[in-house]
Amino acid sequence: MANQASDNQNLQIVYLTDPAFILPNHLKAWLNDGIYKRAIALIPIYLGLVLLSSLNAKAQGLETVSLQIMPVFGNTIIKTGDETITKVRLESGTKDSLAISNFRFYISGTRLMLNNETIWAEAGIGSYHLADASKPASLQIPLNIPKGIAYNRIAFNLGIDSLTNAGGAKGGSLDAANGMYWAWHSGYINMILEGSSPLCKTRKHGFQYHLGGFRQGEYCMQKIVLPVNNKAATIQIKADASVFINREMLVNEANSMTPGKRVTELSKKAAGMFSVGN
Amino acid sequence: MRKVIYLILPAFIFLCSAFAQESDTPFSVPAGWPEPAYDFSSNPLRKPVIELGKALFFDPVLSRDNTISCASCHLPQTGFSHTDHDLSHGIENRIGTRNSPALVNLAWSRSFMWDGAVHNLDMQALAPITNPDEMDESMPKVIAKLQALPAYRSQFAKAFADSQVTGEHALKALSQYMLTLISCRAKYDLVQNGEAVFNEYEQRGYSLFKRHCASCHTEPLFTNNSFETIGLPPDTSLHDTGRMKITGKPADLHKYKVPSLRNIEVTYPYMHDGRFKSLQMVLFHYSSGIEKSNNLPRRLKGGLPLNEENKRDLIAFLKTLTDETFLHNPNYLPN
Repeated sequence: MANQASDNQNLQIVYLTDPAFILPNHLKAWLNDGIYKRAIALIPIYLGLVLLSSLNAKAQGLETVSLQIMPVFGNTIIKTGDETITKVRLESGTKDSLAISNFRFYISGTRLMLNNETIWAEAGIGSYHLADASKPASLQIPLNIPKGIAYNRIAFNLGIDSLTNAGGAKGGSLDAANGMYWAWHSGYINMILEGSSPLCKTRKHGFQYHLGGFRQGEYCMQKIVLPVNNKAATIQIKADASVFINREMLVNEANSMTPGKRVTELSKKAAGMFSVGN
Repeated sequence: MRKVIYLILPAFIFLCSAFAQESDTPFSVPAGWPEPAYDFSSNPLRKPVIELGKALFFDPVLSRDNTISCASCHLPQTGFSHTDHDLSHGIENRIGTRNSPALVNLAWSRSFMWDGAVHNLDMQALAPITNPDEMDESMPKVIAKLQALPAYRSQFAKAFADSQVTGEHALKALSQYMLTLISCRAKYDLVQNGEAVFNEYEQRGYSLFKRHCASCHTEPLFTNNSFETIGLPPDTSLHDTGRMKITGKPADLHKYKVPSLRNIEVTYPYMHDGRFKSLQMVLFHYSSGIEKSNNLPRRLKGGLPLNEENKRDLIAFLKTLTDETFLHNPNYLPN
């Protein structure tokens, strides 16, 4: 219920925030006359919203299904932090190792589907989630869905759509202060995977993969659709970095941080990391 | 109970919104100008937000060692450019690779930086804040510093309904201040409005300007917001490929944003690398210094046919773009 109420708040803000910029000129002058006249003009919108809200209140009950994002490397759970890294073998039975220090990515536009039909979709600014291996709370995404709906697939985007990219400053998980934004070639970074491996020929043997880009020719948000077989209260989504990284990349391509053709290819590869774990 | 909440909540938000409009600063488009590119509906101008943006613009707290502010390289009195510096310097005397551009009429810009690296004004400030040669700071640290300062906490609280000091709010506030930097009262504008007349030099210069320059430096903003190369021999010490760095297209090699010419008299030195100290040198380049390249605009091939008298007249016209009310607007200065 809380979720729907906050959606209504968003709706109101869109309509009420400075009508002077969205209304035709003859209305602008009238509205600029004073706040009381403006308030009068907004009464129909207000009444409409009261009606909408009461309809919502009558809506069927909701239940919470939790998306549990599990950043893993093969069978090892990835944990990162200021003083935490996750060390793993690149392949079992070999001596090649790597340490992951940073693994985070955007999950957006989550939808539940019955075969090819979308049954429910998360919308609004709250539908952008930054899953970060260093922040356990960020790996639990509650979805408030109508009770009893049938679905057999979950779909979501890895990254941020171009419309959101093209807009101005945003807050919450989309705040540029989260470090998931390129300053020198503006746009969101969809996924960051960083660490080190003796295989890397770079400074301090580090590797850095920053995937992103939304302009023509570099658009790399990935749409992911996964089957959901059992209707548990939790859907585990594994993000297995071992599907993304391989020996050859660590040796020859330890840094990839520029939007373009190659990062677009790597993003497709990153989409393969995801599977439903339960 | 729920129904009551659903009745009260919209009413509450409705009242908040109505009162939030009270201190709006309407943004007006000067007569004859195009509609702005900036999406004001996502960030409506309000006085307390503009004031916060102004405070941030002049505050070195945005740089890693608290020494450099936006205004260090964008001085109001010189058209928000860095007069006398070919390449601007950041913290610890580090030198960048480009001349700091004049900030003017940014609401009409569709891209920012000399190479168009930034697509939205809100995101522009991130570039100088995080560039190692400029402020060399990170946004999480900027926000942490601001959160620790009671004066800023109260200013953010005045400016934003949720009172939070966030990256979004800081960037939107900086945008709001920059959106107020409108230069539209130069002699050129007074002439267009019938409030003044050009003298004979300025009038001849205006005719020459319309014939030779206006296809890129299009009135009334004096830029068409495109990227062009103008046959400048590359500075081999800078390794700057211009627009190509962003698009990856060889056709964009050494292309840079067409700058507005408003207040050009005071924003010297000129060009993306500040190589020309005077307007005379700029016009000498256009008449006699153009180096050929595959992507040189056709009208610049062979140089512009300008004699000394033409150049004098053109410069007389360019000086009519100096807007004293803009350069000395007390509203632009910190309180």
